[in-house]
Amino acid sequence: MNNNKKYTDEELILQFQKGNERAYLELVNRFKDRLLNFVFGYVHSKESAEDIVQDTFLKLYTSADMYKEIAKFSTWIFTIAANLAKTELRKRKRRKIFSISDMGFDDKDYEIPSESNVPEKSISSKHQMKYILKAVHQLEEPFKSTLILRDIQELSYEEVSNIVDVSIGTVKSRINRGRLKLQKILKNLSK
Amino acid sequence: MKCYSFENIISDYLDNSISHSMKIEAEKHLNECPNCRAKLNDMEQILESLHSLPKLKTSANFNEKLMEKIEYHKSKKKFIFKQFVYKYSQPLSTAVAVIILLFGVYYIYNSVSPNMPNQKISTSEIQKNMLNPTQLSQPTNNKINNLQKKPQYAKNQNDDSDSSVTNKDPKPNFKNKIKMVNKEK
Repeated sequence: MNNNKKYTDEELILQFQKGNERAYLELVNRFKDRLLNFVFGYVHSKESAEDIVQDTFLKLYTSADMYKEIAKFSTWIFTIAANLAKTELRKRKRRKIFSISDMGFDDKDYEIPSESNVPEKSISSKHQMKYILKAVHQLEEPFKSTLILRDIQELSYEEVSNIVDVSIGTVKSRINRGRLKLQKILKNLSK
Repeated sequence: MKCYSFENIISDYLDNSISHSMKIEAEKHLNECPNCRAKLNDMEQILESLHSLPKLKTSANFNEKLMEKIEYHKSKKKFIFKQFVYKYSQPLSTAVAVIILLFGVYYIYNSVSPNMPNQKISTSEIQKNMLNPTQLSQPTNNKINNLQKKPQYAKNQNDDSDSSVTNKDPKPNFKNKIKMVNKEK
């Protein structure tokens, strides 16, 4: 298992199903950052996103037998992560309903990730980023997940097609419509 | 090209993934339509902003935390099983003991009196049997007694029939039977 790069994701999950825990760790290392950026597009908080990614991998550990070879592993793991992220959003919504002192959706503070390797952003660009994240948050599915994968994570159309398990044509159409919707939302937010 | 047609290919135009002829047509439309030109510029800026969002990396101790979570999950699973066993072992064992006891009683009851008719016996009858045990031990005598009693009853019945003409119930003539029994004696 030294040259894990040779193994496909599907081969690794099959090995893990047979009890090879190194295969599991390799899958974790391959997907953790991609999943983190994907989930961040939903929850807009690095801490929450990391928790959700950990829960995704925990689910992979406990329910690896649920994976069937008919689907791509990436499709499966991204679907788990998206479902967990949606559950977290529902929980937040419920908490907001029951909490009187909570802020309204429009006042929601969107966390802009600060990475040491990223140059300092100007105040105006940070402000713009908040608007963009808010607009992405308001996008409905399946445009949101497709747009996050393509325009934030900058994956190729083929990769996105593999992850969301639809044809490249459908991905292109979703991206086009998603971008136009995002443009509209941003226009409304800036009013 | 119309505005809505341009909208449909705006992403492909930006990604440079349309045919050469389509690109020429789109550019011709852009020169003529300021609205679509503004839309295209706006979209370019949005994409730039989306691309410039910092790429996140998981924290350094991500794998350690994950392993801790997995270990915790494993121990929790064991604990839940142990808790279940601890919580329900007493009532479960009691229930099993009661069931075994009931089966035992049922088995013993059946083995002691397998052909016992399913009918209630009154306490007075039991007392009667206890006071006169010969009836149980000598069933032949009992039969004879019964035979002796029957003709008497029949005789009385016959006497009654003589007095009442309306009684048309055909009573068996026991006179002959009495004679036969007496002869046998």
